[in-house]
Amino acid sequence: MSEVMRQSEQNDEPLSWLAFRYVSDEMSDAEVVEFESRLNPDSPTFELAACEAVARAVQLNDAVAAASEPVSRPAPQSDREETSSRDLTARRVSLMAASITVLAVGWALTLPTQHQPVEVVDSPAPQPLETESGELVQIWADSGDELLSVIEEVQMPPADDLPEYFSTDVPEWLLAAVQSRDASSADPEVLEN
Amino acid sequence: MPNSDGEDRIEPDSVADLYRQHAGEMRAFLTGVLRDRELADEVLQTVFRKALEKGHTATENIRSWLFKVAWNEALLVRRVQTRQTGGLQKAARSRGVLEGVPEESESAAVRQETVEQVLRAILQLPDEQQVVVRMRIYEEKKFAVIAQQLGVPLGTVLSRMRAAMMKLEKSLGRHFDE
Repeated sequence: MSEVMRQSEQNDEPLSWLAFRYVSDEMSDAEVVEFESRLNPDSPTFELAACEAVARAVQLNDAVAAASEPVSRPAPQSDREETSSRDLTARRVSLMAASITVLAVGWALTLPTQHQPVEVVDSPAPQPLETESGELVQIWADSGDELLSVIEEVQMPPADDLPEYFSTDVPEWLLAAVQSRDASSADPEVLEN
Repeated sequence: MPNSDGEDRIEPDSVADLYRQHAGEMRAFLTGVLRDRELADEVLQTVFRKALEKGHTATENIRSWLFKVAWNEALLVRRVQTRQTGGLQKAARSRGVLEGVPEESESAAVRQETVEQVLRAILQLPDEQQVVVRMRIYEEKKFAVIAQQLGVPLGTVLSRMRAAMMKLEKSLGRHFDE
């Protein structure tokens, strides 16, 4: 919490609490108007601390929602962490097994019909076949790459339900905009803020 | 690199640094104002495009400038939304703003750490506060509904939630400031 936010706390309604009510849509229309005047830079009551409080309220709200999700009822903390960890592991193993099975079946279906059929097994290593050496290498390489990519993908921890606010990687659209800006010789657009 | 007017714009590396430092906070702010994550992402793009073009004209702290731009752009979106539902997204696509925008990679380790820290903080709350927090944030029930279901006055629910949020923010404040 910045010093600005602390100094802005007045009366019985801390700014952070007001911000939480605002982002949660738990304010009356009049309260929204009053609070938004603190967010509006053109307003005489503008406060940077109010903007910070809104951002913080959203981040906290999302973090609490993400933390609440795997828990259906109160339980000791160690049990919750173990259950959550087991759930993640089980999901990863299931996804990995399913992916390997699908790839193994697909790989088997691509085999030339004049060769011996291959038993589909849940294994990352394809079975060698009686075929041309170049073809064998290609089949192995293709399967290996697919399986490796799946394994790498599966090993990534799930992030769908987690807040996005912690991403710090510069997106490609921004890099493209920089390149476009540098390449342009004129800027006819007048931008206002 | 000077533009056609001879002014020195913010260097690309500096803009990238600005993005790394402030994009998360700006996105959260925009989400709070717009109540729509997709819209918030769209406006975030606009904000940093303007930082590229006009950031060098900021007379105050760049973070403060970004908040101001974000608010003004969010307000514009809200006004357009009331007039033409869905039109903004369509218009944005036609300008190529959304086309080809890849999903941002996420720091899964940081997020997991945050979630765990938040969970620990929640578990330290009194039971009655934990219940209200869960019903409001996870189950997304309004305070009035929570009060009715728990059979307590609305003021009690608000007091419990407020106390809980103050404690959570205090315990997590340092984490969010990093």
